[in-house]
Amino acid sequence: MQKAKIARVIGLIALVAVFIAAIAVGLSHKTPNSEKIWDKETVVGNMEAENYFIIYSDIVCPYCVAFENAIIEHQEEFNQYIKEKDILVEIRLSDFLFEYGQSNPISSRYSAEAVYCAKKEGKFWDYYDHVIVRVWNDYFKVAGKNAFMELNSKTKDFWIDYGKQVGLGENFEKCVKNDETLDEIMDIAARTAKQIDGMPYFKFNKYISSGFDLSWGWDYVKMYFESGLKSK
Amino acid sequence: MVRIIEKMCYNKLMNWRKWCDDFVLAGKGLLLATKDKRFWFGFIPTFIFFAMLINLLAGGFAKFELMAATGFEGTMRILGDAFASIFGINQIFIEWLPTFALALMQGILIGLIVLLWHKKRENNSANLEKAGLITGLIALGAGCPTCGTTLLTPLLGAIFSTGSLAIAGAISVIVTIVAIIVAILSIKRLGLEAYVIIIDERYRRKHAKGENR
Repeated sequence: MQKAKIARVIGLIALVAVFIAAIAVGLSHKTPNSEKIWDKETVVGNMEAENYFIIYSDIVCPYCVAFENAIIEHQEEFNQYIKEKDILVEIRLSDFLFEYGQSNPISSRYSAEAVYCAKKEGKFWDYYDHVIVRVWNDYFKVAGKNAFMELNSKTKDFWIDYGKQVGLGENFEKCVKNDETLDEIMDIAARTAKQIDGMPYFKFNKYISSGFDLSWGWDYVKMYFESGLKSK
Repeated sequence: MVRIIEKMCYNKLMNWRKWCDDFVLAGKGLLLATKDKRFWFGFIPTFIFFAMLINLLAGGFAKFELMAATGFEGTMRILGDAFASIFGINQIFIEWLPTFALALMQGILIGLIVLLWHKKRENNSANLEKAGLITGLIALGAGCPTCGTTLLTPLLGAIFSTGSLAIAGAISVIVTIVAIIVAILSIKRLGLEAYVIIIDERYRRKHAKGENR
C-alpha cells in the first residue's frame, strides 16, 4: 500500500518534471529565420540574424511607399544599420489592396505582378527600388495619398516601362502581359490577409504596427527599427 | 404650375434665398465674434488640439504605438512634429489643407460656443454635443482609407475579419463628409446667433447711453 503511494507520488513528480522540461525546450527552441521567411529573394541582411523584421507592403499604398522610399534615400546608412544591429528584413509584397482593399485598385495587382516578374529575371531589388522612388517622387510626394487614384488609371505598359528603365527586356514584358506571376502574388496576398489588417504592416520582432506618415523620413524609420529591437 | 413651383421653392427646406442670407449673417456674426477675446480663448486651444489630433490619427494607431514604444524622447518628437504640421511644415500641401480646414472649423465652433455661453449664460450642452460628434466623426474618418489605417478598421475588424478593410474605407469617407456638413451647419447656426446677440447688445448699449443723456 505504502509502496503504491510512493510510486504514485514519484510518477506525479516525473510527470510535472517532463511537463516543465517540455515547456523549457519549447521556449528555448528558436525557429531559424530560413524557415520563417516566405521568399529568400525578397530579404536583405544576414540570414542568421538575431532580429527578424517583416514589412507587408503594396505599391499603391502611399504609407508603404513613403516608408520604403525613406530607406532607399538612406540606402548606405540602412545597410550599415542592419549589419550593426544584426537585422534580417523581409519585404512581403502583394496585391493585397486589390484583393482585400476598399476600391480594389487594379494598379496594386499590375505593380505586384511586375515586381515578381522582375524577380524571375533576378532583378527584384533593382526593379522594386526603382518603382518605389518613381512612384513616390512622381505621385505621392506631389499629390498625397489620393494620388493612388491617378496611379490606378495606369495600364500594364506603365509598369513595363519602369522595367525597361532598369534593363528588363522581352521576357519581363511577356511575363507581365501573360500574368505569369499572378498565382504567386494571389497566394502571398491570401497569406498576408490572415496576418494583417492594414497597410503598411510591420512585424519587427515583437513590435507590431500598421501605418506611417507621408511627412516622415529616415529618422522615423529608425524609430520603428529601434522599437523592434527593444521589443525582443 | 406656378403655385407648385412657388410651394417647392419657398418652403422651409428649399428657401435658398433665406439660406444664403443666413450664411451671410452668420459670417458677419463670426467676424464680430473675433473681436471678443473670449472667442479666441475657445478657438486657439481647440484649433491646436484638433489639428494635432488629426495629424496624430493620420496613420491609424501607428503614432500612438510608436509613442508607447519609444518613450519620452520619441513621444516629444512625434508631438513636436504634429504641432509643426499645423503650420504646414514638412507637409504635402494637398494633405495639409483639409486637416487645417477641419481644425479651423472645429476651432470656430468651440470659439462661438464659448462666446455664446458667456453672453447667454445658458446651458450649451446641445452645441457641445454637436462639437463632440464632429470630433468623433472626423477622428474615425482620419487616416488612409485606401490602406485601411483608419480608426474604424480595427473596430470593424472584430466583426468583419479581412473584409473590414473595404468596409472601413467606405465608412470613413462617409463619416468625414457627414462631419463636415454638421460642422458647416453648426457654424451657420451659432454664427447667426452670435450676430443677433452682439448687434442686440450694441443697440441696447447705444440706447442706454441715449436714455442717460
